[in-house]
Amino acid sequence: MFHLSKKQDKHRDSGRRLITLANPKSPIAEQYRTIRTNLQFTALGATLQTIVVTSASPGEGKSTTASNLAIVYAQLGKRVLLMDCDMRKPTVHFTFQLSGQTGMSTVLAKRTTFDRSVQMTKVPKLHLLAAGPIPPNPSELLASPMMKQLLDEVKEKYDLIILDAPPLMHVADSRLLASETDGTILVVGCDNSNRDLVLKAKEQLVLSGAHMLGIVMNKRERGGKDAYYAYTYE
Amino acid sequence: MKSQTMLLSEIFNVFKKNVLLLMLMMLIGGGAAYYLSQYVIAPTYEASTQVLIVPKEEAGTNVVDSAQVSSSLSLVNTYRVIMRSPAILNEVQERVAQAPTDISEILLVESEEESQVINIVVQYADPVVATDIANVITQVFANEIPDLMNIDNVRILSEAVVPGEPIAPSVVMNTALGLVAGFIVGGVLALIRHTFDKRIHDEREAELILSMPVIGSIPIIEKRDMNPKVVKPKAEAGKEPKGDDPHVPPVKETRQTS
Repeated sequence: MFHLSKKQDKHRDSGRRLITLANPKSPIAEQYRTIRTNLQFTALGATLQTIVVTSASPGEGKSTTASNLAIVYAQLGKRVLLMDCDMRKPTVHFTFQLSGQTGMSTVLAKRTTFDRSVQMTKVPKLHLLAAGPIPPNPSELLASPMMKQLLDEVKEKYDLIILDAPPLMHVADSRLLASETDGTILVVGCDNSNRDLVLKAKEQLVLSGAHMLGIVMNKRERGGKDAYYAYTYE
Repeated sequence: MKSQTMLLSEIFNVFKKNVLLLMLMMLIGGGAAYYLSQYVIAPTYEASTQVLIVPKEEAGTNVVDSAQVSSSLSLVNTYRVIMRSPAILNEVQERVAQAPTDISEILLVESEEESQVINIVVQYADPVVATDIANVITQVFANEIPDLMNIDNVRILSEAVVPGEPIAPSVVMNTALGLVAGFIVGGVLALIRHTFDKRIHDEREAELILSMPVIGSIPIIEKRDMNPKVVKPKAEAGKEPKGDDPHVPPVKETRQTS
């Protein structure tokens, strides 16, 4: 009845996503570093080179999480590649203010090579492979052998690859990606998640053989906890 | 499953989150009750008289006998019934022109236990009519009793006075009730909203539902978060001592020339 979240969402889309870049010392950026640390502990013993970030429904904060996570990893000195696998509604290149002319779709369709499509971002050591022009058959492209080839190729070039996947609710893309990568993060937006859908999404991911790393709660309401973090951080 | 384990603190949290809804419902409830009792509900006025049943007088004795007192006490009940009987009320009807057709509905005859006093209370929308009815009933009753009972032992103790203030509705009381009712309705609505809310609100809920660890929790990012103002005071403090040479002199110069 009193939720204004949709309006806020529109506002937030306009370049306000890269908080780890704009304000690296803020408590929120610290939260992304906490995710990074938690992932390092989760990965103990196993290789964690490719991470899929997905969510049950659109707008829960996949791209924001993926972008910021890529930045904090790059700030650690790792060579990071961020891949926008959401070829239906690509957004990451807007966030980084880069071109969307070439990317996943052109590489997978073998129209360009990876080396010519990848772009440098303003963050050192962080490279972006945009989604490219919207293709008519994104699922087929992601399921094609070329995708596997591409993953093998980038695994040799980067320490960490973060894949920004489409939402699980409607399409099979993310399950395909999740089954071919080392780990999957499920983003849950506090303001627009549906627990039935989220549970279904998780079950689908587990069924498709994904290695679930954990949940990232996004757009959590601010409470006393934040003040605490801000205080200790200063 | 969840609603069963809902704790008091959780209910309190739900109220806290829906404080706007609660306030709105309380405002509506209280406002409606205030409006109704102030402007819509017709006020009721109360007029009352008192009648005293005196013990039977016996020649030569001025002492009040306890037996006489108890006999007049037992009469009190009889008198109360008589007072409500058509024999009395029909005559009242004739004498008070504006009286409603059913006087017994607005008439309250009461006597306190062990007392010889009967209170006659009339509650009516018109204060003057109420007073008239009360007085006329008392007069008719006092006149009729000697005929009916063969004893003249009824005395009028006090006459009714036209009441200034209505006894009902009580604006303050009703408004308070309206506020409470509004709070209850708001609370129930908030709880319903909470129960049917499919969203996952916090980490604990997410872990419970998905049985997966929560590895991070990002609050809503607002515009002010993007400015590194937490760091600013420190940076400025650090600049001040060494920032003298490049920046400050030109500013001073322009001030002097202008």
